[in-house]
Amino acid sequence: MSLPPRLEKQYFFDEEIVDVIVNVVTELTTELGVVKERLDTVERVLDTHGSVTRDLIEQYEPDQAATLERAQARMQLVQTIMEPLREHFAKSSNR
Amino acid sequence: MTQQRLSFNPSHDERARQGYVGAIKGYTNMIVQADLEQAIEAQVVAPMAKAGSKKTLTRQDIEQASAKLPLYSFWSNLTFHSQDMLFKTVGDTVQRTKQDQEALARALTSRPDKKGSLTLDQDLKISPPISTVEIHRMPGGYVTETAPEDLTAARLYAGTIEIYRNAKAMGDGSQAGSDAIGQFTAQTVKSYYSDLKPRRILDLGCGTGEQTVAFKRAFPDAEVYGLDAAGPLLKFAHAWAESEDLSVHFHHANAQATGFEDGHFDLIVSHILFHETSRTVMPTIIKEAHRILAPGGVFLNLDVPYQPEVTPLPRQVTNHWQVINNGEPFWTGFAESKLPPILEKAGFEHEHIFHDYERFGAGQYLVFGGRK
Repeated sequence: MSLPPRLEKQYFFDEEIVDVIVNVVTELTTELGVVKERLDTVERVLDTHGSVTRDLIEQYEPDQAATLERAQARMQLVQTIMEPLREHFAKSSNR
Repeated sequence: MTQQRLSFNPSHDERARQGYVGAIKGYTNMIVQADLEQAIEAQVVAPMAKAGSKKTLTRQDIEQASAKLPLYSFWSNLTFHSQDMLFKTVGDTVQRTKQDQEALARALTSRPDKKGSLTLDQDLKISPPISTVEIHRMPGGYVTETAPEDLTAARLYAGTIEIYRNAKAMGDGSQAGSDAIGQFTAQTVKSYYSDLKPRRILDLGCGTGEQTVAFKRAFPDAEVYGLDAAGPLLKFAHAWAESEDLSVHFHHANAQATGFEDGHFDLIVSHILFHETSRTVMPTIIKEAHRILAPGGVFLNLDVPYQPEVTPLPRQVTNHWQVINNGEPFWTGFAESKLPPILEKAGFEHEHIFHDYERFGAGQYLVFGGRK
């Protein structure tokens, strides 16, 4: 069976490069978040076990409190990084 | 020996990345979208209403001017790109665990003492748009398989749906594999019709089957069936039900011509099915559901709550964006359809038809259908 065609990449700003740069910001936010979360796991594993291995990182299961803290930390990081962009576009939309 | 169960099972970093993509989608859907809708209201709707050329403004009147707002470009960019990121990161988990999970699915569905069944129709023709559009822009769409046991499409769908739902405030925080929506539908059936004791239940457009199993849990004495046109999704659904150790029978058929006898079911349900169907297909499916429903049986459907009469104009614009840019060809058509007359035309009596909104998690769903 042949694959359905991919919808072409869409650009939404007048200058395509603005789309590309916003994409880069989004990707960087995610990757920074992944590193932060891994560091958080390392610290939590160290608290519990006194040492850390890759297996212990993979096996780590956040409890309810840690899950909630992480959800808040994710939203906080996204908001902090995106805020200057959001503020700029909100201002220029409401002139 | 305890039976091994199918699971999504992301690695540490995959789970973190999926969490962040969910956060970006949540930020986009809630914070940026609220700003955008406020700007549409202040900069487009209010001035046009003030100019007063038309009594009632429609989405079409305000769409072009709304698209010129810088916030519209920003929100569109984030929505579009985060959807790509979602499929990429979930795809990493799906590919990494492919061999183990597909082997487990094979083992579960070839056990001699398995509880349910799968009936596939090799000759079933899949019609557009399912065969021609990547619904939700999911790479490969819903019906692609590279080998008979390829569960990639199903697992990609199953791995993304709860992240997508939660970020749109349409979920309850559940993870992949949750049957919370099915449980909610089953509870809604029980609260609407406490006297109903279904012997046979059908979940129309059941896809990957996580919600179908909820009906076996809610009505353990009933025979439970799932029907879908996408064979690759049904193969996963069958394995999933076996993995959950529940008896469910999956049928590969078009919902417009199910092949079941008249009056076969006491309860027919669907979850977010009808907004994926066209205006010509929808009445035919409803008519077929009425045919295979027993007298006294209930037809109850859960779908997106975006009907224009309950949706502010700016939200109609952001919703319609999904039709153009997110592989949702029928979303607006569905939202703008008047469902009670369609149900009546299909044979449901006026006084036995319902069309309501019910709260679930942080959002709400449209609940519509009728009793025969």
